[in-house]
Amino acid sequence: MTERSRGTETRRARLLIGFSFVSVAPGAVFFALAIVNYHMPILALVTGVVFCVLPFAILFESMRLKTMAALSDAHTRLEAAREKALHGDRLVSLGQMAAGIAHEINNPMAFVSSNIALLREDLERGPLDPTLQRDYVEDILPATEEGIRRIIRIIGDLRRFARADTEKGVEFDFNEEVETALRMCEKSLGDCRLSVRLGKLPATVGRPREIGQVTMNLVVNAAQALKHGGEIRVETEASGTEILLRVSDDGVGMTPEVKARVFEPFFTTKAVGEGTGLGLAVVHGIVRAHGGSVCVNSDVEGGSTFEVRLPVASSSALRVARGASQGTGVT
Amino acid sequence: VLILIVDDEVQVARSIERLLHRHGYDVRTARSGPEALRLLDGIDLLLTDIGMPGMSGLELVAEVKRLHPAVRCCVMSGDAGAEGMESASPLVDGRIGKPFTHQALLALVRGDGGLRDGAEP
Repeated sequence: MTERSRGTETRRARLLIGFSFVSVAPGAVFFALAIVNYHMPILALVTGVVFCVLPFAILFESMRLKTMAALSDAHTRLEAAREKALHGDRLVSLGQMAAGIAHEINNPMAFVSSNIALLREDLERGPLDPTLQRDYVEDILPATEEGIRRIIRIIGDLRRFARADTEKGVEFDFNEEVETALRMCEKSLGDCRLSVRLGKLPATVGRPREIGQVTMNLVVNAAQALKHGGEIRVETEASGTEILLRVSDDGVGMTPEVKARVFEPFFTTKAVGEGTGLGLAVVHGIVRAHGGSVCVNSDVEGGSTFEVRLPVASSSALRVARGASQGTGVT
Repeated sequence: VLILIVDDEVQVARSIERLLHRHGYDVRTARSGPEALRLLDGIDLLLTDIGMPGMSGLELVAEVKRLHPAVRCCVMSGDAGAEGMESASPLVDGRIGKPFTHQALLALVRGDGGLRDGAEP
C-alpha cells in the first residue's frame, strides 16, 4: 500500500468517527420521543434504533480501516527489514567466500611459489648435485604439481558452483550415471560399505556428468562423516514427475548451525586438505541449474540424509539438445 | 638459530624448512599447536600458521610467550588482512601473508622485516 492511499484511509476513518459522534445526538432524541410519545411508537423506535446503531457501525468500520492501514504499514516495514537482512546475509556470505577462496588458494600457492623460487636459486648456483636432483624429481616437484592441481580443482569447483559450465542437456539414464560415479569413488571410501538400491526410473534430461559429480560429492561427504566406517545408503526412485536421489549415512550428524550453512561455498568443518568446503556447494549449484532442489535431514546423534529432487521433464534452465545426445560426445 | 615451523599444511612447512636450511638455519616442523608445544626446547623463533584446527596459531603464540617469553613469535596466514592477522599484533613479533617471497620470509626470520605483508607485486 502506498503512502498516499494510507493517508486517504486515515482521513476517511477520522471523518467517519466525527460523523458517528454527530449522529448519536439525533438518535438519542428520536429514541426519547419514542418513549414519551406513544402515538407513533414504531416509527420513533425504528428511527431511534437506526440513529443509535448507525454510529456504532460507522465507528466499527472506521476502526477496521485504521487497523488495516496500520497492518499494511507494518507489512511494508517488515518487508523492508527482510530485504535488508537478506542483503546483509548475502554480503556476509560473499565476504566469507572471498576469505575462503584466498585461504584455499594461498596455501598451495605458498609452497608452489616457494619451491619454484628455490629451484631457480639452486640452479643459479650451478648444476644440481645428484642427491639434490633426486630430491627435486622424487619429492619437491611432484608436491609442487599436486599443489597446482589443487588450485585448478578449486577453480573448476568454483566454476561449477557458479554454473559457468555450458555443457548441453541430453537425455540419459540416471541410474547408470549414479552407478558409474559410485564405481569411481568406491576406492576412496575406506572402511565404508555401500548399500545401493536403484529404483526403476524414466529417462531424464540433464547433464549426466554433473549428475555423476553430485552423486560422488554426496557419497564422499557421507564417507567423511563415517570416520570409523559404516554404511552409506544410496537410493533412487521415481516420485511423480520427479527423480529422487537419496544418500544417507549414520555417521557424525550436524548441529543446526552447521546444517544451516552446509551448502555455503567454503563452509567446512573438516581439517585442511580433507575438504575445501566446495563439495556440497557444487551439489547445490548443479541441482539448482537442473531445476531441482536438494535438502538435508540431520541430527547430531543419528547421521544425515541428503535428498536430491530433479524434474523428469526438461527444465527451461537447461539448454536441451535431445537429438544431439548421440552426437555431442557427452557421456 | 633454531626455528620451529608450525603449519597443518605439511608442504608449506616443508618448503619453508628447505629454504631456511639453505640459509644455514636449524629447523623443526610441527603439524599442530599441541605437537609444537612438545618441541619448544631451545628454539629461538616460532613461525606458525594462524588458521589451524584445534589450537589456533594465536593460541599457540600466547602459550609459547607464557612459557618462553624470550622466543620470537611470528605468524603467517593464507587470508592476509583478515581479522586474525590484525588482532595478532600485541603478542606477535612479525607476520607474513601466504604466498610469500623468499626475501620477505628471510627478512622476517632475520628480524629486520618488522611487521609486513609477505605478498609482493
